[in-house]
Amino acid sequence: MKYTKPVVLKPGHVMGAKCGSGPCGRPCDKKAG
Amino acid sequence: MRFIIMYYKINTNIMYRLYDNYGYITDNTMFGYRYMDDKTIYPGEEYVSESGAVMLNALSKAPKHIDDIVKYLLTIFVDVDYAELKNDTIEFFNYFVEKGFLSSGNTFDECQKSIAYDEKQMIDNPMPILSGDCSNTTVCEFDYLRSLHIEVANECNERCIHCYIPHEFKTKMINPTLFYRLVEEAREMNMINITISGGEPLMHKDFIGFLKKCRELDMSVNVLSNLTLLTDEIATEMKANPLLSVQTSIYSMTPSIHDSITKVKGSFERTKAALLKLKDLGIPLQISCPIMKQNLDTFTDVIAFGKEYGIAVTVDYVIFASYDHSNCNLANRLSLEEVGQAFDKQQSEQYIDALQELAKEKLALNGDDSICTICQYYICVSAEGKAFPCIGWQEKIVGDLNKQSLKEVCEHSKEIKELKMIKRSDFPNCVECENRGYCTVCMMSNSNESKNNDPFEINDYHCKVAALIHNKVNLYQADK
Repeated sequence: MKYTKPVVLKPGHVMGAKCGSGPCGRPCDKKAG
Repeated sequence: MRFIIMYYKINTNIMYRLYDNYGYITDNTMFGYRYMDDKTIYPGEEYVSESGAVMLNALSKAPKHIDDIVKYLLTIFVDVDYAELKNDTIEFFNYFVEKGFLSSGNTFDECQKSIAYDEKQMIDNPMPILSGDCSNTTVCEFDYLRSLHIEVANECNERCIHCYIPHEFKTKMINPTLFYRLVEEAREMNMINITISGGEPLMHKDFIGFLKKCRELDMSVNVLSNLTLLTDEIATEMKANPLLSVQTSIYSMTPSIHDSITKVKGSFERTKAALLKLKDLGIPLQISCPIMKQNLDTFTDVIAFGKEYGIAVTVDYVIFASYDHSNCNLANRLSLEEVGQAFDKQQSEQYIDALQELAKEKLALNGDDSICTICQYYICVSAEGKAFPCIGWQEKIVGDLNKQSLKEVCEHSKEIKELKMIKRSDFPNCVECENRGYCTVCMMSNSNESKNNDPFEINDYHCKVAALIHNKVNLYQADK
């Protein structure tokens, strides 16, 4: 495999509600504030 | 004097995954829960280029000597010499040590015993020793599925009046062979999190085996349980996995009210006792508290209880319909007036600020954005082995895992391809709605409430709730 200096990448941000941010208190594992 | 670091390891509550052309490293709080009084600066998540991904992939949760790592890397990289590779690897690893993802030591034992990042003062923003991206790699948060939600038992020992699973359907347990196969396949697909729910998952006779399997595979685990069946053996296995969190539901601190919702006398005391037992063990917890007519007057006691023990409490004003379209559980849903009362009980500057922050994010969305991340971020499996986009949307079958592999379903399901194509612009009344900052369009909720299973049919009630909350936030700001 060709070697290149390792770097940290910046991910593209995905716009849109993540699962768990809907009205689903029970099934989703959303994080509380 | 600067010591030469000889050993490196991945910290216990960190997960690393090597994807096709990049690597992803994350701490478990990105997937699990944390205590409210936990002041630790967690490292979060990072993506690394292909070479960096190979370097991190050479590590494990047991210390490894840098020379062994570099020798291994030299079997992969063909055009770099030993000295340069060792220097780059050390520099690269030290960045992640400073961030708190890795530990290092001059000896095996020192590295093994290295103070976990949650016990020492981490450097929040270490020197940017790495800059730029000469690899031109494009990474996206949802290039790969991250989470598999498995309903291991839809049987339940409670009969909660708001439950989205129709009670007459609560008869199935997952075949353990299927569970083990799915978790292994999820790990091979580089998924990170397994959510285990029910029904009541602790009713499954193989529950401890399920947890052990997830631990062996270095998977983050969220258990959603009423905890009434918690045993010492289960608690011990939960504690053994530093990547495990637990969510339970408490509806009221008044036992008779909680029990009137679960329909099981004594359930409050059993859930509370088990929750505090897990708290004593230091297992990350979260309480879910959907608000219904029955607990409207007392749900704030649950929030106060959570604060006392440092456990975050999520509340929801709106329960969603059961997936048999009977809407029978919605008799317990708050009226608009009651939503207003519930809001007023919670109102505080901090709460309003949090709502406004969330609203800003939602207002920034446009018609081309996804409506939600189902089938991009996670996928669900029922106790019968059917795959769904969301655990509450069990009529929307996207595959049969008794006959298909997880990879096959995720990559080839026609239904998943269609769901991924749905954008906010497919909800023309919502995309420019002035209340959209206070609303989440949910296809599962729509479909369950629709007589025609139509995920695009929105019950006007949800629009009115969003308008009500938006108005209350505006009034609060005007009064300030």
